[in-house]
Amino acid sequence: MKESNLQNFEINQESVVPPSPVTKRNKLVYILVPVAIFLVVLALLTTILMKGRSTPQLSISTTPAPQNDSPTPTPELQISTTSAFFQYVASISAIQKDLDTVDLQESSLTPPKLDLKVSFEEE
Amino acid sequence: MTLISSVIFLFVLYFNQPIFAQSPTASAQNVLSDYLFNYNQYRLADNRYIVAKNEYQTYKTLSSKQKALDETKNMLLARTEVVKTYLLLLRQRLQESPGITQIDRDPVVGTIDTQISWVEDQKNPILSAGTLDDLVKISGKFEDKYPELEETFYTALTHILAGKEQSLWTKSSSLTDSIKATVLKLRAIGTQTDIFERWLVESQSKLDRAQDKHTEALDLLVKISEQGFNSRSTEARSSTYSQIQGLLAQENIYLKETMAYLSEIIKEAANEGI
Repeated sequence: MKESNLQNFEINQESVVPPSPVTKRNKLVYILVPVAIFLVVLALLTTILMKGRSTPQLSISTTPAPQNDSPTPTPELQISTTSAFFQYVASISAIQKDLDTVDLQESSLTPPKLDLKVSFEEE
Repeated sequence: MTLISSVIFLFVLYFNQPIFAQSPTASAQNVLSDYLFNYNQYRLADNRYIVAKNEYQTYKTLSSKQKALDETKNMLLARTEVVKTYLLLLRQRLQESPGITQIDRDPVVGTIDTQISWVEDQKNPILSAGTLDDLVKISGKFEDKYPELEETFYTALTHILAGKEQSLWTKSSSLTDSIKATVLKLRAIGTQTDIFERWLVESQSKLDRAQDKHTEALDLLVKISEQGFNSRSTEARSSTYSQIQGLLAQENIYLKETMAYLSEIIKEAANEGI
């Protein structure tokens, strides 16, 4: 009986081993790895977000645009020039009509022909 | 009470202003009708004068002499009335025609008013004349004055016609400037405007030529006043006036060409979808 108790005691002694230094290191790993992953993910997200924000700036060309690539006129300006040309059509027609119909003879204003010489002498 | 009267007076004065402004010149059509009526009356009176004169020269009777005196008076009165109504017509047209500057208009209108007064002053001596010799003298005075009157006629006519063309030139020039401004806007936004600009240069060139013809026409007015008061001066003045009409007609052609070039710009703009 004593022997068996002693054996049990030894077994229990073996089973209740103090924590080894490796285990402590594992705990540290368990904490550090998620933190590291979190930081990496955070860094990735930050990079992606920063990329997203800086894309338009990167697309602007610092070199002057070629001559043929004319910028598209704003709709307001396009409308204003187009309507202006429409207006000119009417103005041109009106002036052309005036030029065609202007009376440069004014026959009704021709000076009267008068008999100026009054004489009762025999001719 | 005084305040109310003052207000009513000012009200009446304000609304009467246009009536006062219109009173020296009735409508152009009435003045023209008046002149044409008087011109017709003069021609009839002149025919009667010629008949009476021939009768007097043939028969030498007292009755034919009296008839000649009466018909000569009628003819001379009708002649002054024709000149007066013609001057009024020119005055009216000068005031209504577009494109005449005040600097050009005022001296001519002033001369016309002076001459109307002179013509009016001739009526009393005609009415009070007792002999044929008196009428011959009065007519002689009118004959001497006539070249001066004629100079006023042609000066007024030139300003009336030149004013019309000047008005059209101003409109054409203004339109050219507006189209030029639009073309510059289009160029600023990168539209190809080379063709438009070439048409604009041509338009401006025609406008300049039109202006040159206008200046030439007005310069001939000096010639009209220098043509003297001799027997051939009437023909010379009429000939110079025809030259003025010719130059103004050339100005008109240049303005038509200006409009044709501007039309090309509009057509080109339509073709380009601008």
